[in-house]
Amino acid sequence: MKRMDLISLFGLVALMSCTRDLPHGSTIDQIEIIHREQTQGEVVISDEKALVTAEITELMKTKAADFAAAIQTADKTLDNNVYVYAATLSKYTDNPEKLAARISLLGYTGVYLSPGGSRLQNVDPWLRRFIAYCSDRAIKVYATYYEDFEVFTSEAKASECISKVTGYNKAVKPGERFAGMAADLEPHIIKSDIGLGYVWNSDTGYGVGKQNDKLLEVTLDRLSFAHGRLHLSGLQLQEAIWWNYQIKNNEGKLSKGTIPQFESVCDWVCLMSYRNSTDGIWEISEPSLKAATKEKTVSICVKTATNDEAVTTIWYNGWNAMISTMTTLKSRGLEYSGFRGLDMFTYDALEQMWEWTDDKNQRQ
Amino acid sequence: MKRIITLLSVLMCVTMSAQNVQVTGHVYEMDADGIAKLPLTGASVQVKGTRTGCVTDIDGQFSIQAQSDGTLVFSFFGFKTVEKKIAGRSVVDVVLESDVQVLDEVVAVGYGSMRKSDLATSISSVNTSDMKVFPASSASEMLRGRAAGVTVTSSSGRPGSVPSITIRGSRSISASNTPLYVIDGCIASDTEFAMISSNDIESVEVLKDAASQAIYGARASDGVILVTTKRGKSGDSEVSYNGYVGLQSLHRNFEFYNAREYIELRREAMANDLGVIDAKTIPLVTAISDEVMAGVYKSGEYVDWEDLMFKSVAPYHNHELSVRGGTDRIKAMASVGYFNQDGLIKLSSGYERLNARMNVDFQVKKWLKLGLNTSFGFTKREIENGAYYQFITRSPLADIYDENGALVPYINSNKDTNPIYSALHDFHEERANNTRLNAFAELTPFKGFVYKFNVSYYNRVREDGHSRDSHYPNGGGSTASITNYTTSNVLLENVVNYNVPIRDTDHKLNLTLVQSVDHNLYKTIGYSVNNIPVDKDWDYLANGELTAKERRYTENNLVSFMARAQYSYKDRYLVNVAYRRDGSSRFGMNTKWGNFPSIALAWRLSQEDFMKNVKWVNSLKLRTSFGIVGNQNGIDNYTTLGLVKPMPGEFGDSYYLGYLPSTELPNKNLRWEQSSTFNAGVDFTLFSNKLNGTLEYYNTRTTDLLVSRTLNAALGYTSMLDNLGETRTQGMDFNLTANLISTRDWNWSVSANISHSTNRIVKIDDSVDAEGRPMSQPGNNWIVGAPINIYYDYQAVGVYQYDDFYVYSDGSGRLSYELRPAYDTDGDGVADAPLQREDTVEPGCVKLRDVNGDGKITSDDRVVYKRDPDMTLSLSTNLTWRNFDFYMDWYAVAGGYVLNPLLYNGEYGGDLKGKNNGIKVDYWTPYNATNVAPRPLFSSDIPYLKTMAYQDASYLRLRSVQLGYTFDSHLLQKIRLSKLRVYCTATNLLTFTQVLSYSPEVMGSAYPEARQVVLGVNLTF
Repeated sequence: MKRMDLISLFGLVALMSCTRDLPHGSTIDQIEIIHREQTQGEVVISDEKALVTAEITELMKTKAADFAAAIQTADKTLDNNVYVYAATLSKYTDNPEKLAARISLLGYTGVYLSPGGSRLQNVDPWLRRFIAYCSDRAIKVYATYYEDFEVFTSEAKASECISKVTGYNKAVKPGERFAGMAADLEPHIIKSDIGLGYVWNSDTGYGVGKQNDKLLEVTLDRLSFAHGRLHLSGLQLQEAIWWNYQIKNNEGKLSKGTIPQFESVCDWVCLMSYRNSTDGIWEISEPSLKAATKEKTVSICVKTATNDEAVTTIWYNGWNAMISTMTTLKSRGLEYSGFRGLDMFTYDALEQMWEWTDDKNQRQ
Repeated sequence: MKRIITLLSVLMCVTMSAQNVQVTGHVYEMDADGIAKLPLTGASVQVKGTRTGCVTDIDGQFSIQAQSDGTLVFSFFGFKTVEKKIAGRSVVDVVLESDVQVLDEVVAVGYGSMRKSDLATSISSVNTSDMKVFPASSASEMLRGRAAGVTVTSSSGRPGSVPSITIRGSRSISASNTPLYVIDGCIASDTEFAMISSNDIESVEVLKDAASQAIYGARASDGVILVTTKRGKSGDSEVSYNGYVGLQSLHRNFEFYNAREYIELRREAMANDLGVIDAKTIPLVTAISDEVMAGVYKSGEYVDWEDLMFKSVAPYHNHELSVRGGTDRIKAMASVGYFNQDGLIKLSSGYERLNARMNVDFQVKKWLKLGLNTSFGFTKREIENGAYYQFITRSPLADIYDENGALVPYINSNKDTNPIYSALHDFHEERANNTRLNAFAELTPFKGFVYKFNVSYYNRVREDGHSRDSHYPNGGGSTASITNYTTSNVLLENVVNYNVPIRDTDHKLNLTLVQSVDHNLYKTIGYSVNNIPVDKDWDYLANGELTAKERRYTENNLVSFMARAQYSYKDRYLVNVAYRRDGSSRFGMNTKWGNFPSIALAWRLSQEDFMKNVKWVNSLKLRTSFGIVGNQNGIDNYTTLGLVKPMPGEFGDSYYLGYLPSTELPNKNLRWEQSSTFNAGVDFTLFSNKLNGTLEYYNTRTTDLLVSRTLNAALGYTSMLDNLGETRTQGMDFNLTANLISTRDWNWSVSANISHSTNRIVKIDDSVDAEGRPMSQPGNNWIVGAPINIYYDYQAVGVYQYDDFYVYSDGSGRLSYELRPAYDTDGDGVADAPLQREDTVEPGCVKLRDVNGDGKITSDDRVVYKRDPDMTLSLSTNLTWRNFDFYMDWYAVAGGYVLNPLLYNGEYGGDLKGKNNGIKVDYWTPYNATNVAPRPLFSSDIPYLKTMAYQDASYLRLRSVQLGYTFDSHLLQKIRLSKLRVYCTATNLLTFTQVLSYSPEVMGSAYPEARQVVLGVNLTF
């Protein structure tokens, strides 16, 4: 009997160490799903409110209206996106809504935002506020976070870049999420070996199957990897490409990097048509527009930034010339079904031009 | 009942009858007054030299057949065995006398010894034969479960590792809670105790209350463990050998994900990352997304990392040889022991120990005795590569060999390192030499007075060498380091012990006076180098490029005076008063001396006249004590003097090293942490000594706890160590031994130890809140009112289910979630607001408890998880039948929580990201709506996953089972042996616990604990 008591005592201890598992919940097959209309894309914040938030002058208000009219059609069929980088983010550290409001007043429907890995990792409140405001102004935000050279060599790195964005999206509310990623894999600037064993050579690298072709093949593969992953989560992928890829393909010097090939691995491409004249821009853009096989897959990106040679930017032409350039490009572009819209590199430079009080900022 | 016992008794006698005469009689025990006779039931009666025997019935009566010239042997546990010649008689009555040696053994009490019955303080005497059953490398591990109030915790199963011991729980919040070890009267360390050869141990006593500890003053608040080693004895020399060989094996209570399950985990994590409901829509190539892993998946040749990393069995063996003997004047004991344990890890893991000890007593004159105790120990430990545990996280889809079959440093495209390759290129060895020389002289100028001069020197030198060759992953060339650690101690003691002669023998008085000086030295010297020209170990360090050097040198002194008086009146009323005064070099200038008084009172109730008629009570003692002891462990040697920090500088082309005061302000008033303990207990022996035990209650208030006080940096100092905190510890210890059967053939006893302990922080420092209540420091996990050792975190209550949300579809198939209302904010009885959380939650996320019910998850919702157990229990049983003996020991820990890194920490594969492998859990998926673990997430940490890793640390373990056989002495005499016993012991055979791990106490990267089976022999001649 005593022995039984002792065993019972230890049995009690064993019982104490066991906790009851909670019951299972319902599975996805067993629940009621409430269907409701899609609200994304609707303007929630009015232009009037955006004007207040944007804190712009009357002159800027007028210039914004002119610019928006220059890049958009009357029935708003174009998708126009603008690149926003760290310099702008730091300028609007305390007021992301103001930045979003300003971008919206210029008529943009999308932002290629460079968020930085730590902001994504930390689910930065700035990002959440900026994207939330953009969503309420029917602007989509794409994360420019697929550009590291390591993406070319490491699938793990590629995966990590994508995961940073999807992980961020996972942690925030629907209206605060990125709509996709903006890739910036530029094989033509790989001038030293990054681990692939070959570099881009503008003199001797051309030729089907040669190194430039191989680099483009890797680029397409990396984009395909990201495209597949992002589409699983309903996100889009854009890639910034050099205008010359299609031309070189047309010349038979490359077999990879055609617009149709990019169309198969991206949702659209942003053609870096960096020239300082309207015709110059059109001249390098048109071959790609002609090559497009799908609707709205090629955006013409013009440059206002002054980080390179003067011939690559329209900054120096002044505000009025820019309006003219955009208007012309729009009308020419609309003749092609593949034309998606007019993108801008960068918002920071564009904003400076916007803030000018005369055409070429000569008063400064 | 009486009839049945009588019948049984007669039947047993009949069945074992011989020839000749029938002898009957009675066996009695002496009454408390030493005159009256009481019948003794169950006493063994045996015809000497034969197997014929019987037991007495309830009246103490027996009947047995024997030769008329034979001899009867009467025995019973707790009584002296008596032999009676029959001499032709038909009736033989005997009276058995209590055996003081058994029932009232002499125990060490520190600076002396006394009869257990005379103790007024709380001292647990460990049954060393039970203790030695467990075949461990360290005596510390053997102590587990052997004394109530003593908690042994293993943090590693690495060969040669030393478990930690706490006595009656924790008291200090910042200093260690390590007990003081005293071996043969010399202050020792836990390391010295751990490496003592178990066969050398004669007795172990644990001083538990402040009254018994106070004689050790400023170092005793965490309890004292007194160890006495065996000494020589006069008479025939005795040589004994104890040895065993055994095998260790790994055991665990969890599974790893196999290759298929690992891919599913990865797929699910990616699906969650991408916002995909059905993970099966994630293509396999996307789920694997690693070229090497994909290749291995195709090949189907997966890696079993555990099999690669561990041996299926690892041998170990132990050999102890001792010689005891002597004459009336010279007695000696010498022993040598060797222990060798292979590690379970295949590479660079093992432990070796060589011990030698010699204790000599020389009675030079009647009034002069000289003695020498020496011990030497050498240990060598090979330590596994520190990153070995990465095997837990490594995917079964790994490529570990190159085309030539050689191990590769990285196992996949992600460049995850190969833990086996790392281990092959990492060498770590530790060698230590321990020497103890202890000489003493005892002068007895007149009867009852003994003066003892004791001098002891201890030296331990440990060399730690570590090297990695140039192939070590991410190593950047070969590196090596070597560090030498030297610890030495000199103790000088003058001890006077005087049994004061008092004419009235009802009064007994013993006085003890002690004066001692204790000097401790600790020094280290170490070098680290890079780029050894060839891949050699630390012995080639001189050829490398010096990267770091280290030198430490630190000393402390303790001067002590102690006086103790032990008084008894009529052996009924016992008083023990002690006072110790310690002067420590560690204490502040204004508080150099600490005073530690104590008093203990005991009343042997069973000696009173009114108890004489209570036949079933053999002894009963009530005792209580109060005392104050200290803990100087939290004060480093020079803290109170103020430290400087090196400040290198360059002037021109010259380099200078200067010193600046540190940012910690020296505190001249800094003193020991002080524990005041009240203790009350009862010792009892009942039912003809068949049942004995002790029940004790203690309550300790520890004040002056060392806490770093934050100072205004404008003073030039940022902090000051000060005596500010206060804790309370209380609990109960209970031990019980029942000698259930004691016959010639059968003996069965059961022992149980139960300890219950709680503690709480009363205050941390002087800071108070607006209402004047002491403030907590959650950052340090110090919460006023909560136990000392805690986790402080949010409380998980499962996983969010679809049922917790309104689930919306936006038409494109994408789902969004809105938490259902759970709080009634307007008082209308209808829930109208959901729980608010900072993060976004959806089905599959960790669900937290809103502890304060305010509808929000904030830092106020964190709860206390107590780390220390509420209770430890051990139950052991000894059963002997003729020459067979059986021993079994169960050990249980109840209460307390453990934070299991295997369930949340990515370093140990617990993060459920799918990037690494880990232990298998039933995680949530849209099609498996479990509450055990959340949905895996590939790219980022799962919020609050850690809150699901707190596990109830209770466990129940069959710690050891031993079966032995002792050969008949008449057989052994033919081969001149006096004893030969063989045995088989198995350890850790069964463990019942909720904690998923290799062992409920060994967590994370710690070396797994082994299950052992040994075959051993005890041999004496």
